[in-house]
Amino acid sequence: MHTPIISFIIWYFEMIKRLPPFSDILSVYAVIATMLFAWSILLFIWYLPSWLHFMGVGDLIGIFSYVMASSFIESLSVLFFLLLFSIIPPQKYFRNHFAVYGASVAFCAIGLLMLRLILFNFFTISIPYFRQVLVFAPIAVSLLSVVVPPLRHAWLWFSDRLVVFLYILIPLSVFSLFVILARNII
Amino acid sequence: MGNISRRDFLKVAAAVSAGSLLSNVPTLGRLGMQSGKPNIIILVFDAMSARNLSVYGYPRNTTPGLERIARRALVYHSHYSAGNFTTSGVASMFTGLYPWTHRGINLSGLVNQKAVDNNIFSLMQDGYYTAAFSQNYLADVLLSQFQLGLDRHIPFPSFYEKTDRPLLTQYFSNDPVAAYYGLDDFLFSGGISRKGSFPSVPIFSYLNNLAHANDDFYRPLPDYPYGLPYNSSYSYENSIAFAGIRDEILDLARRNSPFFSYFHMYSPHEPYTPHRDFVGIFPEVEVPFKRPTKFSTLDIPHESILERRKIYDEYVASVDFEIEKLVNDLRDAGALENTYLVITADHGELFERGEHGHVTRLLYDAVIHIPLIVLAPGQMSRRDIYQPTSSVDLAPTLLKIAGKESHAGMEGGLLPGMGGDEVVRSLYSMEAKECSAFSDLKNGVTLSLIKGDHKLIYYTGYPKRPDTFELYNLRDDVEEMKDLYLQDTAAASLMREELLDNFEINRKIA
Repeated sequence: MHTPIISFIIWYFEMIKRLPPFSDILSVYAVIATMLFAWSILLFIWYLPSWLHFMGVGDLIGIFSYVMASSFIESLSVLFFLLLFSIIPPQKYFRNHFAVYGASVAFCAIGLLMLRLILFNFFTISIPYFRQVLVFAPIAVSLLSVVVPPLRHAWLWFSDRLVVFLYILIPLSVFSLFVILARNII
Repeated sequence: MGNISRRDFLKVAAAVSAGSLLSNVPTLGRLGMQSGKPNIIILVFDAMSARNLSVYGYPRNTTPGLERIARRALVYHSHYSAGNFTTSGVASMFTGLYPWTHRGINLSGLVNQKAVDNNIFSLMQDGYYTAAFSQNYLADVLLSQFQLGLDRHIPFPSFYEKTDRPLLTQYFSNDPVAAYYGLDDFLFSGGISRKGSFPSVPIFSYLNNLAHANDDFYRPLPDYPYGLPYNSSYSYENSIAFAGIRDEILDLARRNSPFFSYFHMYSPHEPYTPHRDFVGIFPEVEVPFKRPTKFSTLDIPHESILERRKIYDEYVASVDFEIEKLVNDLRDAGALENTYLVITADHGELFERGEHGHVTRLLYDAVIHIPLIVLAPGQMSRRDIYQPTSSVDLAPTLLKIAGKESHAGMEGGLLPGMGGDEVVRSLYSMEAKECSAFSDLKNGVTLSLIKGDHKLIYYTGYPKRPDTFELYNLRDDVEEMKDLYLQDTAAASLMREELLDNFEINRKIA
């Protein structure tokens, strides 16, 4: 008979074992992070000319740090959600194809949210039944990707290529967190 | 001695409690007087146009409270904001500089370093405890810029009921400006429902919108038929917000040093949400029809404008009730004994020429003519001042009252009745939201020059519109209906030359 703490530790390691391979997690995170950071950086550059007029370099680095840190937290949250989804159902459904499922779901869902903002802001067009589209379109695309080999290979190739961006984005995020800490403590 | 009933006991207990409270009242006044310097309180009411206040002769009885307050005050009848929206108006008030100098001319903008270095809070700080609060985020961002001059910056999210998004800057009080632009202004950006907003966190923003999908800030409530007052970030009740301000001021008055404080209330800014006691109280009044000009950007039907104006008037009356209650509470507590209380606005509100509100290219009186009422210590009668004055005059005047030197570069002068002379001066207002703040001003600028009875308006750099002048005589034509530019050529020529000369000097980036 285990104590609750021992039981929890056992359960925790069971769950860890159910996680997808680290390389798969990394490639899925690369898709999420690249999309979210690219979006934030583009928006930052869009706003930058006006900020340049009335702020010093220190403040601009500060703003950039807040933006990067929030994108970092957002990207980790999405990854966490996908990982949670991968360990709950039987392994054969999601975990074993995590790289394909994860990359396609993340790409479609995040892409749809961005597309919605762009369509609305530039053309005042709303996507009909958006909530339903947001749920079912990524599921449909990911199922199709697992079934159709060329699509599967395309997702794997795509997500693998994006991993290189993590070498920039993760250090940038850590640096941003340090900047925020320094600006608020010092 | 007969038996004392429970009711009698409660009465006696209440009287004793009230007596002990009242015995503390003179203490508040005495504390402020110890240093010999007066306390100063600025109360700003957002988008309160002098044109709609009965204290200035408006036919609807919108401000009986201010009329009673004015019985022992200096009442400025021709006070003008240097800008037609919060950032430019408030920045001029804080710095004594015109918008062309401080460059707080864009929505959500900041001011330049010259203005930061010479803001009224920093100049007051030596010997004064400085405190400020704003329910309007545009003004609060400026306060964040002046943070070094503030001993107490009361957080923007105070005294509120409900918010539709996280207000994160409050958790980064050591770094408010970068945190505001990096988080509150950028992160959620109002979400999908507001055009022109691109949240930097699309997923969090969407989830936040889902979580608040059923929030309806305009939902009619029994006490608020048009919904609760709402400042684009949170809803609030005026009675609670005003009580919060009163308590803050009483706290300041208990300090053993003089204080300089600024309180910026969002009401009566749109959405107009009068308390039910003020809904439907006003009869129809005759309002002259003014057709849209070539610089109007909207073409709202006259009937719709009249309806909005009526609700605005009801809201002004609702706010007036709270103002009088606040002033009476402060007076009863003895907090005004050695205190200058300044009641004013950041800009006005326009209901004419097809336009409504204050995000406009126009500089007609309704949007820049603001109230200024000053309660000075010991003043027992009303004094009316008709000389035109400007919001840039406030900083130098208050600094003088505090016994301090104003900055040599300040463009305002001393207010008549408070050390200034009643001479004819040239007063400017400026609108340049469409311009880049830190390049030469050339694209889309409206300027007004008020001198004596005349007002010259100059539009320049608007696409597909030729540069245009308009001239009005404000004494004979209060409604600015009759353009005299081609008739009164002598006045037009003199004022045009003066305005263009000044604009040529100041439009260039320093």
